Amino acid sequence: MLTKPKNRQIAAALAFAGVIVPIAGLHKFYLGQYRWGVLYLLLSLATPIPKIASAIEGVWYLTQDGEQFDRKFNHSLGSSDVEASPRANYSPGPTVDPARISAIATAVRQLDQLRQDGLISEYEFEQKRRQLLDSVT
Amino acid sequence: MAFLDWLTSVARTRSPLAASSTTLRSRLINDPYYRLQSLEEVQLAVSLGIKIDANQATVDDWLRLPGISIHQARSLAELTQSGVQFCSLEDVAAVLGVSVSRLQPFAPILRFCYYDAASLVTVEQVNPNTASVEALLKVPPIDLFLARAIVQNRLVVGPYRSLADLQRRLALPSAVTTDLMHYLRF
Repeated sequence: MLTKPKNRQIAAALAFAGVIVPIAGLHKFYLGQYRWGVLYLLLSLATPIPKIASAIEGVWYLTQDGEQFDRKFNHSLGSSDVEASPRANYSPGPTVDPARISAIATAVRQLDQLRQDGLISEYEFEQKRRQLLDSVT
Repeated sequence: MAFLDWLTSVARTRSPLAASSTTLRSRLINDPYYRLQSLEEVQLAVSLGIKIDANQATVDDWLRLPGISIHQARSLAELTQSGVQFCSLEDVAAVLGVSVSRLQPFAPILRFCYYDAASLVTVEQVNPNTASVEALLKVPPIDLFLARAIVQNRLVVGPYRSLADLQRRLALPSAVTTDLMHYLRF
């Protein structure tokens, strides 16, 4: 529970559960805010305030985007844990298309041939070569 | 701050031409290979103190001039490297086979400096891919044995691509290659 990244949907579900079930504050325990959790529990025995707060927080968890949630509740975790989370801010690198690479390799070879034939200068060859290679990434 | 931004944006919209000329100016100053697009840009380059030394210019230097083709630039660069001296715009025009009036706009940016062939600073270079044994012998570090080896290897394997290629093929010691460096041109 402590090491796993916090899930937004679970937190929101627990918060809404706090509205229905007589005891509120379960989502605070889930998110690791134990003092708030205890306060919600004690208050929910006497007043409806924690229920309202839980409802508001449930909506808030769902409406804020995953990055903000991660920053707030998953910041203490290692990056590997964050990557394991379904909402982690991890984008895979650009996929390299082999056909495209071979086309660029052919283009560079033809450029070099032009350079050897004296049809383009060294500077032009190098500029075009860099442009071609930069278009890969 | 916002007011300043607004002011600069207003100034920019008021004079787009001035803004583009400042970017061009910075490009001219910062990019030694920038290809001049028009005679107007040639004028601007001259005003910034950019000069092209006709007797030292490489292919890329010649290509900076608008309208000079790659073949013209290569022929000019090859001539100057083989020791031909351009003394004036007429010489360049004669090599290119165009009238002098055609090249007149480039006159302000071209410099014709005299380089003394007998001076110790100027080194006469030989091309090991075309030079005969006698021509190679004129280079101080090359003795008869090395000259013959260079020509022999060239005839058997083919032209040398670069100094590194020559060193590898002839298994030259690095000290000899260091001496040869300034005398060979490929």
